[in-house]
Amino acid sequence: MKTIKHMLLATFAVAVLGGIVAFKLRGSLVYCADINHFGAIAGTPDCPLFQNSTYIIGAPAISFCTSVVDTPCTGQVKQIRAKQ
Amino acid sequence: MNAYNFASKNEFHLLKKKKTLWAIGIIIIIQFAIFKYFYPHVSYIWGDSFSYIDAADQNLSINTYLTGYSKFLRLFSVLTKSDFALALCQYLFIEITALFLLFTIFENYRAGKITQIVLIIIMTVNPLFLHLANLVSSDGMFVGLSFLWFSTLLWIIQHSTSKLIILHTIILFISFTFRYNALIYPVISLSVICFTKMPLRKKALSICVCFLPIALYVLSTSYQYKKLTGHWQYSPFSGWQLANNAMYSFRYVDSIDRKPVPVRFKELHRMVCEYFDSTRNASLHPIELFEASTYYMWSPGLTLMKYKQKKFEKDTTIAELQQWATMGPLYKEYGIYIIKQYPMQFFKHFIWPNSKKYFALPIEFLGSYNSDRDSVTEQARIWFGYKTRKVSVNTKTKEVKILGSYPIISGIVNAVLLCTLICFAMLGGMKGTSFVNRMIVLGGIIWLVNAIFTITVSSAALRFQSFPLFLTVVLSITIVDWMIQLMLSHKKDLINPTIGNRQIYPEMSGIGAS
Repeated sequence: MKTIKHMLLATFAVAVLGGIVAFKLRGSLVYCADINHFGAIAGTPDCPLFQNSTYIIGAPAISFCTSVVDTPCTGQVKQIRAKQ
Repeated sequence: MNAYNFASKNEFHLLKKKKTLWAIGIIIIIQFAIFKYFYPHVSYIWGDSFSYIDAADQNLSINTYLTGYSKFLRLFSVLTKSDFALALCQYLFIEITALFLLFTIFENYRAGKITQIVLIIIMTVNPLFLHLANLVSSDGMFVGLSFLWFSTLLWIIQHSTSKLIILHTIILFISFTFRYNALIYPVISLSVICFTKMPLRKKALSICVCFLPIALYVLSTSYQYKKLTGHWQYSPFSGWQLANNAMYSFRYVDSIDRKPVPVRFKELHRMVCEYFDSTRNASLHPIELFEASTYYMWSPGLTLMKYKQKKFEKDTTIAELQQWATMGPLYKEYGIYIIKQYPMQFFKHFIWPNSKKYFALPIEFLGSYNSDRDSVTEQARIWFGYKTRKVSVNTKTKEVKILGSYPIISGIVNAVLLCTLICFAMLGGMKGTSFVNRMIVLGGIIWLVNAIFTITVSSAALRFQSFPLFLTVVLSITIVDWMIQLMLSHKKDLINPTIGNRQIYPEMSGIGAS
């Protein structure tokens, strides 16, 4: 009986641990991009987004694109959140 | 008294009580009504959903995806064009099949009252089922079919009647035509039938009956691809998937460690190498930051698609499906070749990241309504009889925040199942022959086989791993309940030693010694 009690306690501990690990693992990739009018990444080499982009993996989206100067980007500066 | 008879007299079978059924029915209707207020239109995966509609519209028998769901859409369109009706039908199907699974368990195993309530709440008050039902994709129906498939397998374990075998065959066949995830189902069904207590002749006949429709379907599909591309193949998709998986590992092979490839892969391999050499700067190519994803097989600007375009640039008359399917065998061979050449990289950069994904399932397309867009294609507009192409929601954003906790839930239940299965084995549960013991063993095998299949050759996402997720939840809770009951029976033994464990819980035969 004691063994089963210990097993149930261990299961509870494993559940907490599993939750913490999963929380750390869930992720999405967030980046700023230069979006052309077709909705695709414009990819202008001079656009600062392609030189100093900030990438966050495993973190919730934060509005950081606004601080980036959008010239000489050819499209609209947008925050992209791509889910893993 | 066998386990079945014992359980059927069980007074705690909540799903046999009218009050419970009424409460469930009311909750389901209220939930769906509230949900449809926020999401009046069905949601689309930009790409997949329109491919299903196109296949339904043209009544295709082969397509990029399996055509089972497209056939269902076509059949449903005979009754009504309403997307509301489609979402309702899908939702009711998922809920009814989920409750049927619980009914099967409660009918054959005396689960505690709290366990029953918890399981019923999980299956009834569940936003994932609502979002899956509201999606024009095979995922929702596949979850329901999988619940049915597992439930009928459990009934076959108890009573292997001819009617059950035929019913199981129908469900297995339909599931097989809906998603490639069902590729493992026939193997599991075969194993279960093999272990039943049927006479040998009946067993052989059951296996034949079960597999004949699937064999014919595979043969017919392969023949159609043979006519289209000149190659016998059941699934070009698997070829693309293997090449995609191989590329995720090959990206990390240093250029000096690259080995020469056979002549037939030379041109493709050169393009793959060029692509990786020119995309080392992740700030310029953020897609390269993803691990074990599916970008290489779907993105038009990336190598696999580019190579396909190059192959067919001289002949523009060849249809897209034919071009795509023709590449399947070559990509399959190339994928296998690369994986065999660089097994360590494959393990490190595909299997390991994919295992993490399987553990904490990504929300993927379920994370935003209509792939974060506000319109649908013209074909979808006509199919569902919309006045305009616009689709809207009554929420602040298109982001589906309510599903945000599912990766964490997935991590918790996967860890709990692994732990409880170990406890179950340590307590001698594997040796038991009662319903609950067999159910746990079978469920554990399905969980393991599905995990191996998904991690090694497929990709993991919440929408198509919903059945394994709920199976994991049901199994974990059942094992915990079983352990608690075992503990309580031992306690009773200590208080009144004249009442043996077997007398109190005859369905636990085989674990009394523990």
